[in-house]
Amino acid sequence: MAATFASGAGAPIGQGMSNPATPATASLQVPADWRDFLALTKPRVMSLVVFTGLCGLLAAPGHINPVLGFTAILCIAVGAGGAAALNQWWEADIDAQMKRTAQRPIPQGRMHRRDARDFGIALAVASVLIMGLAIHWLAATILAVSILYYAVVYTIWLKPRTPQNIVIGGGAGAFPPLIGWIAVTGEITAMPVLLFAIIFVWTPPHFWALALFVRSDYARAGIPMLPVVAGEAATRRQIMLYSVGLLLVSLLPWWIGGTGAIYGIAALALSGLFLAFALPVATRRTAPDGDAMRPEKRLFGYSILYLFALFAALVADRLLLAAA
Amino acid sequence: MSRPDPSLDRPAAPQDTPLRRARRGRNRALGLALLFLVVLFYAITIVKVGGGS
Repeated sequence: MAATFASGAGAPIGQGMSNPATPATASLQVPADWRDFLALTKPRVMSLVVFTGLCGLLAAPGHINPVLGFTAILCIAVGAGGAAALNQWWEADIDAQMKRTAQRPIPQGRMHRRDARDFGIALAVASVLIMGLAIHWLAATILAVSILYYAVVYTIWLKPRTPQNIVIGGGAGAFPPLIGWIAVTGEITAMPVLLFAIIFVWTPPHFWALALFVRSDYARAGIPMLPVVAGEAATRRQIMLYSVGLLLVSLLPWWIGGTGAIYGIAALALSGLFLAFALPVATRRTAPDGDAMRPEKRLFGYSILYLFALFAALVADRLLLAAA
Repeated sequence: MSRPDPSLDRPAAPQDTPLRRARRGRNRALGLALLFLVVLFYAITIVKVGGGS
């Protein structure tokens, strides 16, 4: 692990890295702009992280002072930003080979690689320390685990090695509602673990739908995503399997009595629709070259909407129950 | 014989180079972030001391 870790450190890409496709870093005499540092934190991904973390915090039983609640969400966001920066530091040479990621600051030569690493470490350490000092250390410990899970277990270890990378790595994105909940209650109970499980089971069909229509990108970059390694047919079957699993897991919070009927009905409707979007993807044969991949793109788009709507329903259910 | 241009004796005004612009933007962003942290820590302290947690 240490040798692997060292191989990606230090030098700006194009100077000492093996990838010849990486653009030259001629503009590095100019320090990176603050916007490039902001881009390193993957703001769009962070919006989902902040939203699910906030929903965990709002749905938890109990009360938290608004200043401390804001601080907890800020720490979750900053921690996610730090993990994203470390991900881009490590994967700069892979990003340069993929259309979807080639515009990021390091592959574009707008930022020195070690700046991204230092920035990521600074954000990660600051978020964990502030969470520990201001909220409590259980939430801080889980935040630290989530950052290490994403930056080390997923990015460095799993992603380049196994087609199950998304399945196990999905845990990294599942932590925010758990942390938000624990920030309020200070303990781990069944409900926050179920919220974790929902995102954990949601991640594979979400990412595999994307992987199906950017498959050639992943193949070119040498990432062993399921469609690249096991083929399209196997990926489509797995998408269906996880979509059925998602329906069951999303109903568990209602089934154990952790939520009311509003959440239960919303989970049933949203997860049923998820299955409806997954079905045409699962029943399709291998797409021919030049196929627009519409069912896969529709499933990917809906999967993002699904998570927002499901967690919004969770909060609405809790607030309405509290008001009643 | 004409006199030399007096403006030549003055030191050249610092140019607004991309390097200076980038540094200035970075320093401002860092300053704002630090200011935000000071205000946040102050608010957290008030809440904690006041028993608002």
